[in-house]
Amino acid sequence: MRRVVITGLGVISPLGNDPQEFFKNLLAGRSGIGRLQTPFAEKLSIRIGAQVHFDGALFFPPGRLKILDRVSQLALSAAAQAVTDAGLVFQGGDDPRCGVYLGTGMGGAETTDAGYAILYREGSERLQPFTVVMTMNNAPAAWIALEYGLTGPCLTYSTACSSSAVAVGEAYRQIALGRIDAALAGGAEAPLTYGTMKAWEALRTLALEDPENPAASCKPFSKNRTGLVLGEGAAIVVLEDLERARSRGVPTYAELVGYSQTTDVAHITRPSLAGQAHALRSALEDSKMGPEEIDYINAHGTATLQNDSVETAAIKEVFGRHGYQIPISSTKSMHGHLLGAAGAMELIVAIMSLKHQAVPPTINLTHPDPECDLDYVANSARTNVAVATVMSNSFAFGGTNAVLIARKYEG
Amino acid sequence: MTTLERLQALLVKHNQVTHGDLVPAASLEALGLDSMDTIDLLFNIEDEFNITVPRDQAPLKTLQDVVDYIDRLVSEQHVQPAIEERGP
Repeated sequence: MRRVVITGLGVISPLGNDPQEFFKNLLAGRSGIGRLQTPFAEKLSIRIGAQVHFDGALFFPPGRLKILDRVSQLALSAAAQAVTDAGLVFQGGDDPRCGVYLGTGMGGAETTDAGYAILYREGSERLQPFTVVMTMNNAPAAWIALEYGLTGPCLTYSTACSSSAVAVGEAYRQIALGRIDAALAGGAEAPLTYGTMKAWEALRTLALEDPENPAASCKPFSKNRTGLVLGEGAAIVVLEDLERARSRGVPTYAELVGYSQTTDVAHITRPSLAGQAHALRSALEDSKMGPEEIDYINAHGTATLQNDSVETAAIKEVFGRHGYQIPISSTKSMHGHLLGAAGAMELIVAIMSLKHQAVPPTINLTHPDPECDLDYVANSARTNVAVATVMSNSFAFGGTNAVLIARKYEG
Repeated sequence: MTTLERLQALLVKHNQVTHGDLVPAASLEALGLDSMDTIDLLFNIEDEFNITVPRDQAPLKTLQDVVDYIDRLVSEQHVQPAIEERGP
């Protein structure tokens, strides 16, 4: 098996549109969550979300913009950052050893929503000509492949909240197996539409707005947690075969050393202790590392009642006593739940923790829950901590779980 | 405005084509319109001229082809009401 390193990062997030600003804001415990600034907000019973400050018109010419759903705009922008960051120069139109592996849960949700409004509300019998191209789930990945001329695999994984963790993990495997040499991998999501918000509202899993501070509505691992906050964004990493990265002489952020993808088969939404423990254990086995070697866990930590206690129990089952020593944080408390982009975004958080030897907090953790009794780095970041190996958890609806492990690259 | 002028305005507005290039003999291909752009153009033509472009639309190579086609569809679809239907 070949070794796989991460050589580039790209982030469009509710806490900044580059990895440095994003991580700086996370360490400061800032929240990217707030009242949704959108015309339909008044018709929502839950009006909070984590919006990205991003104007597509600044990135794309009008002719291009009109055929890109927001999810593709976010994906292309994050990919451009990652490519620049990695110092990649593609050979202009045909690079069969490079692929694109992307995750998205909702795809072109804005266009889908707008299309229904045109048909059913406005009574029109015509849709925009590019509706199909804009709504198809593989559009973000396809645009990235087109942009950089990558003629290897171009794949889209749609496994709800683990989509982009699966995408990164599958790309990692293909490089490790020698089938490709490099990949742009990650995810994108733009779910803050009226229809999507209403659907999540109906599921009764969205966090209630904090009456004093809407920005503090997402409270992972806290006794008074009420649910998740939807967010938008994109996160892309450049994965490369170690020898390819070495021959290019570029710095590496981390080495990806473990990946698991397992399935609960317990319930379509309710998390399973056995399923999550299976995912954690499998990732450790894949990395050939022991539980005591993990220095930081970026938890799935949705702030739903069910997830946080089950995830805590799963970590305790797999890590034993060491589970109490590991700093664990749910950065969803700050950037929200990015669904199909969450796994890659949170892997980037973990990688930045390696780079800066600092661990971001779980904010809004004010009411300890006896069922959540691990070290969640409550409310304040920790700096100057020794972080050599990190884990990022993604546990999805459908029971599709994915766990990634990365470590500092040691020559 | 003539049909050509209205068509030119559509192309400038929606397809980012330079007005000076929009001579009647110019081919859509030479103007940089690919198949998707042409579909977009037909959609905008439907709006602008209040017509329906049928699925089996005529082959359209040049701007003049499009102008002629629009004029034909307008004359077919914008039928004057018959005399007996007119009010007093």
